[in-house]
Amino acid sequence: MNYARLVRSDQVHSSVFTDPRIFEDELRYIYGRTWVYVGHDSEAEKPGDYVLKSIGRHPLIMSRDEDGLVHLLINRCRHRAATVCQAEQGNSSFFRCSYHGWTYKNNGELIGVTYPNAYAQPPAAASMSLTPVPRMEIYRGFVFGSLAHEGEDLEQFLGPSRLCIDMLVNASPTGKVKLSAGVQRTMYHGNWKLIGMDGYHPNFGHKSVVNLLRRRARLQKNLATDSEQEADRRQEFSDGFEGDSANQTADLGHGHTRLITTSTWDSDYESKIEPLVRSEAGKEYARLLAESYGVDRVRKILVEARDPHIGIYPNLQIIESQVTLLRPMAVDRTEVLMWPALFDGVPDEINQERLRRHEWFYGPSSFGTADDSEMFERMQRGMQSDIDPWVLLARGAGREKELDDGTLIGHITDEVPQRGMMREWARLMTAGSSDHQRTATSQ
Amino acid sequence: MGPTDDRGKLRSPENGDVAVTSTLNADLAALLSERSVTRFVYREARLIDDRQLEDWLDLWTDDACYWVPADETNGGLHRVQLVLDDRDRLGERVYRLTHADAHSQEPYSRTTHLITGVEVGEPDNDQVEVHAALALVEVRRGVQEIYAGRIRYRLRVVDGELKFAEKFVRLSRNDAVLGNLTFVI
Repeated sequence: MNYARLVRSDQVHSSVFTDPRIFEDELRYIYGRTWVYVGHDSEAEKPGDYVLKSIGRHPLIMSRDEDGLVHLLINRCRHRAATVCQAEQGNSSFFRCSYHGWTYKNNGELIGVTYPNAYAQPPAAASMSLTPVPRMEIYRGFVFGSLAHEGEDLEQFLGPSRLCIDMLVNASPTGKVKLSAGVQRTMYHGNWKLIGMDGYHPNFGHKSVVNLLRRRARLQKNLATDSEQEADRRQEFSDGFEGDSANQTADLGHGHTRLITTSTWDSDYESKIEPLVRSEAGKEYARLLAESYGVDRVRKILVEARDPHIGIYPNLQIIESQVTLLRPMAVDRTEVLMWPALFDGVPDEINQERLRRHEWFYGPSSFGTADDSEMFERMQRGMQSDIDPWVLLARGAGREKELDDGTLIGHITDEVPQRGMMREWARLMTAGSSDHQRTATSQ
Repeated sequence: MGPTDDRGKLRSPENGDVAVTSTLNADLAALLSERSVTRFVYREARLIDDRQLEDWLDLWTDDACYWVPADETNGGLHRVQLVLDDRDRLGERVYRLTHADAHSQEPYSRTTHLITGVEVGEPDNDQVEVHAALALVEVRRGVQEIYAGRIRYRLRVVDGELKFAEKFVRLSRNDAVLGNLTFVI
């Protein structure tokens, strides 16, 4: 398939979101080759801890061995291919296949084959251990895997997007976040590429949230009616995404994209952030931050902690306090797993406030992301018509600014992220299919 | 069943002060009777299914807790929840669902709450704990979903009326991959 023809500079053909053959190719050419976010090392915190994960359709075990090292192992017995680990998470020194009793250590090493004498050459640990994901690297607790044996290292891959991970992690006084409060597993009937950084939609897609925030302001000021509130209409959430907002979008390369909302949080510091550090727990949190990073940096850290709003292509999003992993299940079915990220080494109240704030906007019963999912499903239904098949991503195409490192910057409402993601998609799919054809013809 | 931290802690008849039972006046006893409590629980389900959510909101105490956990760990407030509404957030939920622009409820979910196996505990002063089984059938855009689970209610008499102080819903599917759960459970 000629993938370059399906993506124009400011348009994309809707078959990219609806054609099952393209979805199969994505599993090979994107999820089978690039770095993919798998999980966070705090999910397997202690020696022996493990948790089930995946890359594309590959079932994985993310385990921590007795030496504290994290492993990504394919959950498939080297004998007859049954999964060797069944529980979603747990703690074990061994994984034993229940079918014929082959046993592996939690680092994947084959340590036991039942009745081994019947083999001409008994299966050996060197060749028949659980297959590791070919490459694994960890950046500040975020575990990435790649099914390709060769390629750029994780640091090159992440590029400037690392700074957004830093913004989250640096807001812990110990420099660690923990995804230990559980996960919300949600899904929508739509393509995985429909989700992304979009600073154009909040005032429309999240109108109900805007309404709730206005209602809060109204209740706080004891304003009786909607019309009185109209005079006082502008407020933080909606302002940040207005046509005249100072916030920005960014295409960081590699399909990584970002909404830059620093200006909103900085100007709202006194009203939105500072009150949180006025409580006893908040004062203690600020003191711990000052102790770790210096008192001059506390305000900047607290502002930046609200700012991460990044999509790391193809399947990770970090939005303020939450970490989202996308699982492409079918061309029209996507699972979205949302973890609230807790700070290590802070008073309990700080993390509980993060959890309760998370539940307000994120999850299947929330006031925020449920409306996003609805939009993705509406798009998927709309795209069943292909009389006019081109999806328009042209907003702000004429006003992008390029930074020295190649980052493209646009206005918060511009479709810079959408164009960036589709450009990377076309690059990966074109490279994958041409490599595939080359291999096929040489055989 | 359920978390054991402060917010969810229950004064069950076993460890509560049994002596107060005898001091209940007749009105309180009538309100907390099995018949009265059961009717109240059924009425709550009907108000949700009839989408009379403003009336539904009136059923709650000021310190209400509407709680739907996202797993079976009983980790209480230290875990992420599907729903954990205090009275303010409950008010926001109802406001969102009764005003325009809650897109995930356009079209809205038609729900039928089947409440059965209602077990009314012994009153503890002005409160009573109730257990029930739930089968919730939801239809949206012609697609039917079924959610089953157990409910624990805590009812309290406030100014001569029954109110919900807590509704804790343990859905069997709570840790599964879930779609649109923006209706009232």
